[in-house]
Amino acid sequence: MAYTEIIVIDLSTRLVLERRARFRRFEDEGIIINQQTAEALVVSDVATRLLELSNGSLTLRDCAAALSEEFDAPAPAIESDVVRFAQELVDAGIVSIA
Amino acid sequence: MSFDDLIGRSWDENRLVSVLVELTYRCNLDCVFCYNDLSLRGRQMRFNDYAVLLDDLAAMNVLNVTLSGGEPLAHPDFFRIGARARELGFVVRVKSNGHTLHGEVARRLRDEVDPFIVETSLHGATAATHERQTRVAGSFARLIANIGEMTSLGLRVKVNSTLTIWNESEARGMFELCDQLGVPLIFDLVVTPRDDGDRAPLALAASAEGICGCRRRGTRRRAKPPPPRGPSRRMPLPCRRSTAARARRVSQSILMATFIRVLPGGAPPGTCTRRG
Repeated sequence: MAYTEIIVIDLSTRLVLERRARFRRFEDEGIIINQQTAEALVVSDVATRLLELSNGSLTLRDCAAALSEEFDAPAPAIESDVVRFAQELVDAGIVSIA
Repeated sequence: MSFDDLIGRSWDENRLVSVLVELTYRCNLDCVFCYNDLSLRGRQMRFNDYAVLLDDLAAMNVLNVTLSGGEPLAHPDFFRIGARARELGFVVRVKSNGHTLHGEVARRLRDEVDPFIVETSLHGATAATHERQTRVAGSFARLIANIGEMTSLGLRVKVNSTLTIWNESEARGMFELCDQLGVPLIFDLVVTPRDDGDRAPLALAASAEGICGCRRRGTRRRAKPPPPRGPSRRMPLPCRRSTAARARRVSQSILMATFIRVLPGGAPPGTCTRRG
């Protein structure tokens, strides 16, 4: 029987860009290239900032706090969105848990 | 904004997306129609020079760096330069004739440089035609074996070919060969003069019939159908303005949308070529 690993993301998770993913900021947006799948993903300014903060040392809670301050948005809303987006990125093989 | 829109905007705003770095004009093949100006002289740029260049390009948010030549692997610091480009987060492409890309060299390329793609050159469907152009005996069999080895190592390989009067009758066979190898083939229909203005390579230009025939059949063929595009995904984070995040296949031509060319002897501004 084959097993699929389920990775659960929460606010204590620290993320880093996957080894085969490439990321660049283009002013207020970002481009992620997944070299494994040869796909490009364009992400918004907030998501771009989150990827910049995902250096393996900050938790998602730290990232959410920084985003909340930088983008003048309520922390609770940011936190849930950050976790959801991080889960998407992990599932897409773009970031991994540090 | 889609990936195409973003690249298009970069073009409109004259923002640099891709850089072609010609590391050296040395080569282990001797292609008849090579466009490089082999008489160019200058100090060979070494790792430290390229490290500064790559740092600057990363600071400019350049996305794509193509390591080319000559034969880029003939540069003594190729692997250090490639690894540095990888560390700096570039999408690295390597344009090589493929002659040395086997065994340990191929493994090091995968593990140390991690290129997005390796582009090699095929000049015919038979050894006779291919080697008539490369002027190196055994280069055909070696290339075919090396392409197989690279793909088995997990490297993404693409094959380029310049259509010439010598190989135009073998275009169909070249497509078939690449299909067998499981790699895409793209024809360039134009033979260009050398960079020093020497028009001698034009004698090998394909005939009008050859070009028309290739156009009819198509100048490119994918190795296999691309996987289905990912669905459009909306980024869940609250944004100041709504932005859809769309996954799409990376087009090589799009990645080359805006680029400059850096020559191996150092590139004073006059020799930086901006191409559309």
